Order: sequence, then structure tokens, then C-alpha cells
Amino acid sequence: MNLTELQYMLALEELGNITRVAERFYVSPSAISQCLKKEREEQGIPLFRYEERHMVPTEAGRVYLDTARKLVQIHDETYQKIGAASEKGADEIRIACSPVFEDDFEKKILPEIRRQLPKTNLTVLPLNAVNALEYMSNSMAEMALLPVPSEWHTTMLEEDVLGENHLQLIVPRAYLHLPEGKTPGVEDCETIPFILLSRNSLMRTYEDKVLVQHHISSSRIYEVSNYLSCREFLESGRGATFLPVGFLPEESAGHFYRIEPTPKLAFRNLLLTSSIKKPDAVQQKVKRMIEELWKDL
Amino acid sequence: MEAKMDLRNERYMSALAMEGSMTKAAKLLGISQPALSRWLDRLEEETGCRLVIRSRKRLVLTQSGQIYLEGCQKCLKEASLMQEKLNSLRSAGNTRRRIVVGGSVARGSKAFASFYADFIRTYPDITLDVDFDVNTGLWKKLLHGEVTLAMLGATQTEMREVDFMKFLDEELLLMLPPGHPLGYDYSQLPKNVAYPTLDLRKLQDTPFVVQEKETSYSHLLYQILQQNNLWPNVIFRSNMIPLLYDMVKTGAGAAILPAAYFQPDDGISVFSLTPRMIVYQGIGVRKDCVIDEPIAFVIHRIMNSWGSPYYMHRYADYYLEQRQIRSVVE
Repeated sequence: MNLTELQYMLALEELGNITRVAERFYVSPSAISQCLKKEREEQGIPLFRYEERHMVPTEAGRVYLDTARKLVQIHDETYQKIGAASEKGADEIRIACSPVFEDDFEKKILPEIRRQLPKTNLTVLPLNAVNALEYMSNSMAEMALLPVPSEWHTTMLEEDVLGENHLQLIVPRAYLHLPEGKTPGVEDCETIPFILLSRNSLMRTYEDKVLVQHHISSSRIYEVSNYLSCREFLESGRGATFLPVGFLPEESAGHFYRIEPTPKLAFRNLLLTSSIKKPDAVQQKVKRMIEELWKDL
Repeated sequence: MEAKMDLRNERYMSALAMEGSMTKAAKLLGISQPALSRWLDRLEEETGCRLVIRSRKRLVLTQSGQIYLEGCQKCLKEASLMQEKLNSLRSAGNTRRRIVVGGSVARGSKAFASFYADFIRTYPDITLDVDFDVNTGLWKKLLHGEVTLAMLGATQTEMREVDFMKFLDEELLLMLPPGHPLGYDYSQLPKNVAYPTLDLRKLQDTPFVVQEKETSYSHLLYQILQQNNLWPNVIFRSNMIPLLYDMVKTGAGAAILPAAYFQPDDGISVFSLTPRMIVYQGIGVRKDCVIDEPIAFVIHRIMNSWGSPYYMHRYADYYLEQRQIRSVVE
């Protein structure tokens, strides 16, 4: 099944005649009938049958053609979007944004910038830190908004500290049977599953540090790509996880223990720009606005 | 438009994004790494833009690459939905389809009865059967294809030939019969407090009723008894867990049983083991089994009737979705 073959089959439905399909695509009729035969074999069920010297789709054929139409449509949409995305507009600013900030950024910061700078075209790229840094160093993003461990530094980028925060270990109450009044510690989590960031993330080494220090080697570890997924997995009761302070909705707090881990997992919320290519006036303005608006979050 | 979007492109792209490295993706797809690399070059030429940053550490998708990947995943999903529909059309022409559910006589039969009527009403063309057996027997029947899916107990969730969808974690508790000298009054125990523990060596003289080796966690039981230096005086063995519980209740002896059987009004004293023992209940299917709508129906209904916590039901959805993605890539 490929796009050309799908288009042959869609044309066959429309025209009902192999010869006329061949004429439309400037190929030989045998190419069309071979394609029909191949699809029939691949799917293991006839897709067309003859009816009064016309080819009409069978029930299976209709299922196949519905899918074919969808695939052609997805294909066209995809290529259109790729074309639009690959060219950077003159006034475009692409901001790589960690999924942790995405919601706040889109709702509270972006509308205000758009209001003040209506001509600037702002694109938000949701990316985790490692990928965002890769985008920055390949000139595929002008700015990045990321949480990074406090000891992490780079000379390639201009760091602008928006704020500081740290990680808490969040454990579903159902997983820990503790006597009343006892506050749980990291060491109580020995037998429960953990939801951790994937191995290539900046924060994972950080999380591992805590687990190693408390001699926890969980046999069940789910690896996810960002804190949003961590939270989702946590809320569906899959195990314990680390989350930035304030990232767990208040109303669900009753279901979880919050443990302050040692060593403290401090990180900084950074706004990164290139230190080689100086930002232009508009970019400067956007940068200042983000700094200002961030304070109100 | 000249560029082809055959499903090979889609499969390769998904594998690349999932594995995050050329080498690993090539291995997953069963092709050589240079071949995969050539494919990517050609694809980038066709689409006219860079899709992937080939970084030293890890492969990163560009913005266009991300869009292309999303398109691919949509296509694969549509294709797999089509396969599913065609499958049922193909089999409709053949003989009547039969789904066999395996389970235990105790809890398995209850679950089966709870959804049987709904199933035959929803899928009148499919025969639904049940096969009762002990846990080890169910595993064997599952591997040999004698049952389509089975409700199983297990002590681990990763298995080579079987996909295990866990829907319940259960703690194994030590249960002492009413009136036992080491017992306590459960109703006096404050709420939300962990079960007490007990030095097992004190039970040297207490008679025990125990599971036979066909029960999924029996090896763990022997292990934990040995670790605690207890060589129990076993007076009775059975795989019927409700029977063992009733024997504790009537004072025959102590037993180690899943927490679900414990009824606070029975006068039984329960204790956590050290370390705490958790076993799983779940549904097993063979890795090569195609989970279509009727089978998914059974899976969901088993989870519902078992009284497992709500988040585990969502796990079933998630699991089925993951499984579908995996099977498409493979």
C-alpha cells in the first residue's frame, strides 16, 4: 500500500473501469490490474467485483477506500504543514518551551505579547530540555524557556534566571501503609513503582541521585518524557514520581504524600538566548516582556 | 505531488522517533543502519526540508520532522483500524468465532458470570466459553492457544511470551484464626493504620493451611517462611483459596492469603509480612494475539467486575493503545 496505489484504487472506484484509470495516470492497464491484484493479496479479501461490466467496491473494498481517502488527506495536510514550518518568517520568533511551562506560557504570557507586538509572529515549540538545547544550537529556535538543574551551565547560550524551584517526591497515599502521625521519608518507598524522566533528560541524573542515596532500586520504573506525563501517570496511580513544587493541583493533594528529598533537587527556570548571535530589537523586547510577565505568575 | 507516502516511510519514521537512535531503530526494523540512513536522506530530499538533527548523543526531530511524525502516526492508526475491520470481514465468511476465557473457579467464575449476558447480546456471532483451571494450568493453556485470554495471578508483570495486564495489587497477609493467643481485636485497631507485623518464629506450634504449588505465589510463601526461620506444621493443602480462608475462620489453623478475602467481622487477626508481599491479579494474552473489539470488551468487563481501583481501568485503555502502536511498528 503506497500513495500511488491508493490513488489508483480511488480512481477505480470513481471510474469503474481499469482502462480509463490507466489513461488518467498515463500508465498501462496492466499496471493497474497488477496493483489491484497485489492489494487483493495483501489484504486477503477481494476489494472490487464486476457488476454489469463495471468494477464496484465490495464491502471490504469500501472499508479500504475509506481508509485510502483518509491517508491521502493526512498526507496532503502533512506536506502543507511541513512546507509552512520549514520556512522561518521574517518576523518570526520561535520559542522552545518545556511542557512544564507550556500551559502558563500560552495562557498568561503569550496573549499579552501578541497584544503588544501584533506584527511579530510567535511560535511555541513544546520540547524537553535536551531537544530544546539541540534546537537552539542548530538555529531552529531563537529562545528557550526551560527548567534546568542548578549546577548546569552552558557558555553557548545566554542564561537569564526567571526563578528557582525544586523537586518534591510525590507518593500516592494508597501505596504507603504508615502508622498514623508518621511522616513518610524517601526510604519508605522501597517497594513501590517509580515514574521517572527518560534517561536522556537533564533532570533524570538528578532524580537518580536521590534514589541511589536512599538505596532504592525499584524493580518497576516507568520512563516518560516530561513532567506532564509524570503527573498523568501519578494521577492514574501507577507509582511515585518527582514533580516541581506547585505542579500538583491543590485539589488532589489529599491523595498524595509530598516528601522533601535529600539532597535538595534545586533547579532554575531559565530563559535562554543565543550568546553568539545577538538578539535583534524585537527579540530583546520579547525577552524583556517574558521576564516581566513571568514575575506575575 | 511526486513524493510517495507508503507505509514503509511511516513505519521507519515511527521507529526512529521511538528509539531515538539510528542504530537502535535499524535493529528494531531488521535493516542495516546505512540503509536506514539512505532512506532518511531520500525522505528529506523528497519533503524538501530537514526532518532530523543527527546529533552525536541523540537523534532530535526538527519542527518539520515532528509534523511528519504526527502524520505518520495518524496513517498507521488508520491502517491498523482498517486491518481490524477487514479481519472481522474475513472471518465472518468462515466458521463461527470462539473466544475462550480462562479463570479460577473462585473469583474467575464470578467475573465470567458478570459479563457473559452482556457479551452475547453485544456480539451474537461469537461463542464465548470459559475454562476453569489452577493458575499453572491456565498459563499452559494460554501458551498452547487453548484459551484466548486468562485471568491470572502473578508475582511479576514482565513475561516473555505473554502480555500481562495487571489490574490489581494485593497484599498477602498472615491470618490467625479467632482466639489465637497472638491475635488481636481488629475492631480496636484505629482506622487507616498499617496492619501490625509479627515475628513468624512465634508460630512454630501453630498449625498451618497452605496453598499447593499451582498457586502463582506459592514459591514466595515458602521463601518468606524460610527467611523467617519458620518451618510450619502444615496440616492441610489446597489451591482453593476461599476454602483456606474458611478453614482459618473455623479455627483449623493459620494461613497466608490475599488481603481481599479478609472480612473484619470474622474474628480473624491479620498481619503484614516483612518484607510486605504484593502479588498481582491481571489478564494474560499471548503476545501474538490480535486484540480486537470483542476481546477488548471482555478485558474491560473483567476489570470492572473484579472491583479493581478505577485507575487500573484506565491502565487497560493505555495498555491496549500501546500494544496497538507496538504491533504496527513491528
